[in-house]
Amino acid sequence: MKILIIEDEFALAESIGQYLTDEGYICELALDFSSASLKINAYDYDCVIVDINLPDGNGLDIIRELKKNHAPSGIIIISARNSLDDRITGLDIGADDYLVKPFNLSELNSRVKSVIRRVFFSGSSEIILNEIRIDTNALQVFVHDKIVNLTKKEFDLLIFFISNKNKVLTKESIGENVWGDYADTLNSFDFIYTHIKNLRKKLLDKGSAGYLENMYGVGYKFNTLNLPEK
Amino acid sequence: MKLLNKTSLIIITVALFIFFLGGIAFYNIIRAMIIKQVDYELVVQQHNVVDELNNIQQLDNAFIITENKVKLKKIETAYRATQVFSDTILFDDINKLYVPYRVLKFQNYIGSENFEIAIYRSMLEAENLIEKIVITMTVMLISLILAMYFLNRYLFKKIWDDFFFTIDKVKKYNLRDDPNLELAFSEVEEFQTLNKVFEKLTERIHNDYISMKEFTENASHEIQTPLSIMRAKIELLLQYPGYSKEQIDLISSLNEAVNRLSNINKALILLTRIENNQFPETSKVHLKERIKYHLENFLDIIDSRNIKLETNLESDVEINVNTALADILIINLVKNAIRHNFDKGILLIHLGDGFLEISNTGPLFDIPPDQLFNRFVRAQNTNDSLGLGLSLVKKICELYNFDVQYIFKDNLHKLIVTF
Repeated sequence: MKILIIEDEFALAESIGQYLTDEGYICELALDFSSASLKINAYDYDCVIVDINLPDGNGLDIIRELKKNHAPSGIIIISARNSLDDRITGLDIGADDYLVKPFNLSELNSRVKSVIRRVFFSGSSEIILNEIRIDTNALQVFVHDKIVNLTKKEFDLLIFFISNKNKVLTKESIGENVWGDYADTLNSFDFIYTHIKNLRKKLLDKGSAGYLENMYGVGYKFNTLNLPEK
Repeated sequence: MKLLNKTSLIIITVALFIFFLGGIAFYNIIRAMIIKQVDYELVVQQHNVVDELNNIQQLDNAFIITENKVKLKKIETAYRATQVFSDTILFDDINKLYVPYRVLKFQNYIGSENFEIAIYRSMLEAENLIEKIVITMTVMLISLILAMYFLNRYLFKKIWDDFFFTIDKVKKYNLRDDPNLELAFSEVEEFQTLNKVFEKLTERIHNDYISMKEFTENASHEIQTPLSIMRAKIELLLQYPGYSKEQIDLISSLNEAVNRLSNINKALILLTRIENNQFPETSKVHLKERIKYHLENFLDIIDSRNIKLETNLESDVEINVNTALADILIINLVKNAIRHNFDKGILLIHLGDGFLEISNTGPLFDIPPDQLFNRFVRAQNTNDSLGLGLSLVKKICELYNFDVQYIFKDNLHKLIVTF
């Protein structure tokens, strides 16, 4: 899977690239409008992450160009401006998602995966990880083909964890991803603990491995490597 | 007091005062002049009478012609050359009324006997004259005052018209929407100067306002990018294995600070956008429905703190506002009531006819209620609070002319929004 990151701020573009490369994607960076324009005309990308405010052009024009070329890419806008107009225009001309800066890399990663799922696997909406199988359309989770009854929040948590497997996720990023605006200024993210505990228990009960790890002081990790002895 | 009333009052007061004093002075002057004239006439007659009397040796056949009453009285004392003027009142038998007289008394020998002679001159005509003059003057002065009063009112309206036009324009001037104040040309130089001053002043204020607004907007937006980088770098940093407890604590507090900063920035940008009227579209929002929806999403957080939630959504209030802002209003009110609550506290939400009341238990604080809605005002024991939630609430309420107030009653902090 190839991803093009169009972002004029090198430090940010590099960080996004590093995180997504870790996830197994092949990432390319474009730091301005002209090089971005060259790249999208020369190569095909599975997903394009585009900043609207570029020094030499508007990111929305990149999206228009992609659509004109009938490129089969998923498109995610990242913008410093949380403007409804930009969001509507962006989604209208064919972007798949819109993320406002400052965002968490885990959030962006989760959106990239969701967009790729939507664009490329529109028929099958399954995520399979070892013994866990998730039907994202039916919102159902199976462990060893046995259905696990999860609440909506637990389901969202699981998707977020699996999208960012083997990554340390802060309580804040988990809270913001699953509870959105309701959690962002509460600052006490302790309430997510109960939900993660329940999710872990439900998965374990159906015979799944103990993937969910509590990372001291910062958050959690969905660890699929070096599984601890059960 | 209005300028017109003030000037009218001054004019009337001064005019009445002058009129009063002037009237008294005028009356006395006229009177003195007439008396002087009368006295002069009396002296002339005194000479006539003395001449006649000097020709008469005996009173028996005395025949003196004067136009005035003359009274002779024999006195025993020796002759003294006196001339005394006085006023008196005599009863007129014919007309049955008291008549004022001017009297001149002097002494003179008739033959060998000393007589006191008094010449009486009626003042009736003179008094009538004075009376008529005074009445005429009074009528004239009152007419003058009235004329001045109405002229003043008329001139005031006419001359100050430009001024009131200016005031009206300045009153309606909106710093946010109008780039410059346009005032009509005034023929009165002072008003034209005033207009120019106003125009320059508003232009400068507007420019300052614009640059201040641009600064805050730019600052907030420019901060977004470095914040994104910081967040991203912290996330990457977290992925390295083998940190010690101390290192994790450092990264963790760094992460908290960055999150806090981005939340503050997000709220400030939102405040600026509301101020800039960037939420123009409105639609009918059913508050009951929205509150229910948001409470559903808050349930996890409310449960985690064991807060007892009681709702009384008795009436479905419908307001015509921007949907996003209505949501921000509800979310921030509920967030505030959860954040400043006790664990196992109470949260009451009452949507009544035209008002929304959110009550919660919570620690007491020493912030005056009128400062509660100011930016970055927060109670001392709530360091995790941004101090911007209620500013947002206030700003949204201001935008739609809703009233929001805080009261503390029955051990409950209450925020009441009246629509």
